[in-house]
Amino acid sequence: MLSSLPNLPEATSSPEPTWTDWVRQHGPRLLLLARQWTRSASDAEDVVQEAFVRFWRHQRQLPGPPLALLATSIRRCAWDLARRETRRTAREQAAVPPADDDAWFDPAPNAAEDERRAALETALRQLPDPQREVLVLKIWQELTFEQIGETLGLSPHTAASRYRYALAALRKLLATSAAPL
Amino acid sequence: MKDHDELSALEAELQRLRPRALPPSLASRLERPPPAAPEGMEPAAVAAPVRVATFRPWRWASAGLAAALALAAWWWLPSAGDPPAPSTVPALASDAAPFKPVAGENLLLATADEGVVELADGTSARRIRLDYLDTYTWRDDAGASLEWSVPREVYYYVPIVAY
Repeated sequence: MLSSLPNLPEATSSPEPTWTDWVRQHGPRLLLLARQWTRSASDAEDVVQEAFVRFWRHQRQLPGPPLALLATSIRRCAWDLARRETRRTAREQAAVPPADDDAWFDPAPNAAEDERRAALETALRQLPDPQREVLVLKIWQELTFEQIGETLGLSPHTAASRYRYALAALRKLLATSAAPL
Repeated sequence: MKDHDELSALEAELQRLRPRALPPSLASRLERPPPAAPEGMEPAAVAAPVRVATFRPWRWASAGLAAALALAAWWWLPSAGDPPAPSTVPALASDAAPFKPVAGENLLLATADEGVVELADGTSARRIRLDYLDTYTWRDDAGASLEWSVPREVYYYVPIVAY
């Protein structure tokens, strides 16, 4: 069943992209997206897996860009998970230690660049959720503002506005963190 | 202008960040086939989107045919209050027995796991859809038969317990 994916022409440069190729190429950015709507890295992994299965079973033959469909599917799976999670007790949450490998991005090749990467990631995590999710959908899912609007239930204009606010807020956060104490 | 340039530079810097690679455990999970459907449902679950779509168009034809046959039967068969049929009407009207059910079949066409849904009481459950085609056959003493096929969808909700 994991054979070719004719509806995913941009998935890979190979003329016969396979499910495996596609997962390897797009999995990291979808995991990053899932991380925006989940409480932990392991939750994000579960959400990505469930979204892929839903996509494969129900959406792969639908018209439209598959990344946008998967973004919507990931959001719904994350909501489903969040609803289940809210019924867990605060005691259970407190008992779960923070994951050590919860970095959103790959380390940079040298120390200076990695320090900047860490600063950017820290600032990103501090953005308000509505701004951050638009930024992630635009930068790393490469969706248009129209597709972002469809995914989040916003107008394209609102999506574009949030994107600009997110960049401005990010710049301010970075400037604050870099300022001498 | 400077403001715009700064934001563009920041945007370019963000685009250079590479999302973390998939952890090996998730990569191996994703590169396997999706989890199997419940026992006895595997083949149909994979084929569900296609098979359901192909059978839908003719369900209306079968329903229409059944309705036409039923109307014809109602028209030609006398009821208790009907006046005696004229002599020009074939003997069917006077002594034909009503149709009797002779066969019934429930054919499972497809199954699909529709994922997790929230129920009215706030709990979560996995919804499984089964598409059936029910076919019933009636026959009268003269050998005329009436067949009625109708699609039917059944949903099962499997409770999810979180530990």
